[in-house]
Amino acid sequence: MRFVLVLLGLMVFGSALVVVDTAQRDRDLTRTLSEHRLVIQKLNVTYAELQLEEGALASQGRVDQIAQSRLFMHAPAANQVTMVSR
Amino acid sequence: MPALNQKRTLAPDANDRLVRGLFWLGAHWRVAIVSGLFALSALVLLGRAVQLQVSEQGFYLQQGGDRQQRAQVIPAHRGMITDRNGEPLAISVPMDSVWINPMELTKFYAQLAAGALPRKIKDRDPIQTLAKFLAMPKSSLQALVDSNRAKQFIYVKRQLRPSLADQIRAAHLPGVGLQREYQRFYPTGDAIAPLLGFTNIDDQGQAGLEASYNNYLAGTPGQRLILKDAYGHEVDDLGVVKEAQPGHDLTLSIDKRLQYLTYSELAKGVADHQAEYGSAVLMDVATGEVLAMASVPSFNPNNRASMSPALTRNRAMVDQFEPGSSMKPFTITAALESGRWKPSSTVDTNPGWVRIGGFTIRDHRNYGVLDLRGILEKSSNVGASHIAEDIGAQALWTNMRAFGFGQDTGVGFLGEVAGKLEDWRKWSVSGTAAHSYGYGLSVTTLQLATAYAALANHGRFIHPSLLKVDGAPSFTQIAPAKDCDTVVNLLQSVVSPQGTAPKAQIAGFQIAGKTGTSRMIGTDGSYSKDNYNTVFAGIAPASSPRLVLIVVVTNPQKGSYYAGDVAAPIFQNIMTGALRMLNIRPDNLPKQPAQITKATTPVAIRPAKAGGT
Repeated sequence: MRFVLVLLGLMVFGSALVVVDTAQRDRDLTRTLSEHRLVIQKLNVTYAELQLEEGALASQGRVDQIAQSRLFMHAPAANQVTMVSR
Repeated sequence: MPALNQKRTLAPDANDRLVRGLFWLGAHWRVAIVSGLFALSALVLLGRAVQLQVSEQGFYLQQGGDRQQRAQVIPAHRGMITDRNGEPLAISVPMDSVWINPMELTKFYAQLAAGALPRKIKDRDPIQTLAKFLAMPKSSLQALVDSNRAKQFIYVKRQLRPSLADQIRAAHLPGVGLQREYQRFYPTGDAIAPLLGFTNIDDQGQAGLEASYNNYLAGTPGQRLILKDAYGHEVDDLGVVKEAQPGHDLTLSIDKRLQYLTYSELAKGVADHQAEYGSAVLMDVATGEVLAMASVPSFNPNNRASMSPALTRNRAMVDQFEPGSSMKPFTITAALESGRWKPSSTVDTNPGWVRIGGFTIRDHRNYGVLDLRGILEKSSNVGASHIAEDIGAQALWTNMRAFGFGQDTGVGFLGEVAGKLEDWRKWSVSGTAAHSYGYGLSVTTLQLATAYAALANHGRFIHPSLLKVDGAPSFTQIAPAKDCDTVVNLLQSVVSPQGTAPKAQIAGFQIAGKTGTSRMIGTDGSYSKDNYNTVFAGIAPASSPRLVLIVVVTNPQKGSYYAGDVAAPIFQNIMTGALRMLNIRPDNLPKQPAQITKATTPVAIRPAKAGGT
């Protein structure tokens, strides 16, 4: 009888320690999660800015102008075209 | 004295034990008092503990929560608008707005002056620091604080770059806060601005598609409850109070490249002819998708200062005009449908004018006897009037109505007009004739494009769409395929050297089209002799139609005012580029040139993907 009581007492004590440990781990994980959420937000900001930058750099007008003035590109004339028929 | 009281009440029936206890007490009364006091204070402590833990628990729980719990905003940004290939046309970029709490700032300076603040506070002049960050004079910021002493929230500057906002946040200025906001950016700028519209500073759509689809695009931020420890770290997630609703992305039917081409060529044409305004709609015949919709003049949507109602107007849907001769193909379709006319049927247009219902209808000159092809090729008003007289108002009206004139197109654009097509019973004799060559009714550019697309699509009417269409759309057969194909065939003469628009020809392709030059109604309500509206409606390639393009240029002031000289060349420039970009096979190579090689295996053509992976 006394042995069982001691055992139960020890088990209660042990589980109390585990609760403390779990709570601590929960907090750590929550903190990590919130840090990751912040990172996601930051990355979203960067992504939006990069998209914007891409849009500005790849705007049709700019591409058009660079193709013509810097790369000397032009639409091929009729006699420069080779038609490939299937 | 409690001990004496006890003695008196208990003394009469005290047994032996109690008597001994009392004797002991009598000998040790000091100890008794002290232990009694101890017992009492233990009782008081216990009572207080019960009070705190049980009866006032709710209050302290709430107080603790208020100090440690934080409501965290779950951000939800407005959806992106992209073109049909996923290229962004409108993006929401996070920005930060700076606000101040003038009451707190005033208090801070008062305490500073009184020396009530600890010495370790480094920044002794937050207004100066903030003014430096924002590059604004300190005096104006000081004035803002002074004139709003009683307020707790005032925006100082909205929509700062996040990098600058981070510096301000790091400075930990008292009474200064930051708020996350979103600003809308339009990478394509003015090329598509009248169609997309714009949002206001609170990211709500104000015009164009931004307003039409505001509920779909807009996101609602959510809220989450969290627990923070003394260091400000998040230690516990107490659950989501309100779920965030991110905005949906909107995929348009527009092709960014074609849009840019259409806009720039239209803008050039409008400028060359010093016209008042212009619009153009490029439509995919098979799906009814609008591939490009341009409106000139336009505005820079990234700069609110450049906006004015005249510039933000989408001329392709909000403005209506009398289509003039560009309606004649539908008159001819009605004639063929009636069964009374064949392509070879002739009309005598001598002497180049005719009086109907008290009005004189004139041709450009006397064209003599014309068949149906001739009527379209020369754009004879007299010929069209004779046909209208023959088939009657009802047949003409039924046909026009079926092609969508006078009705909402259903694209759901805010402010779109439905045009005007009066009931045929109200038409006078001269009115019937007028309708046959495009007067007395008004249409929008989009309506005209839809009608020509139905004509090109063998009489299948498809509702136009500004959004990308997946799969084959449903259609209504509104006219016999044979008759529509005949009209498309007849329309090829218009771009021939004998027609009204040889400038719309495109090398290598058969083009079917029709010009329309109409007098505009002046301020006095009568037709002007100086102000014209020019239209060119074209179908390419005519042998197997893929694209329809309508170009409308209103009130050209320089050079010719004929549609064949104003709108047709713009059509040619845009359509040439569009056919090339979409890799559409030429159907009119003069002779099989030597360069044509027969490939034994099909050549896989991969469209170049912009933007990389």
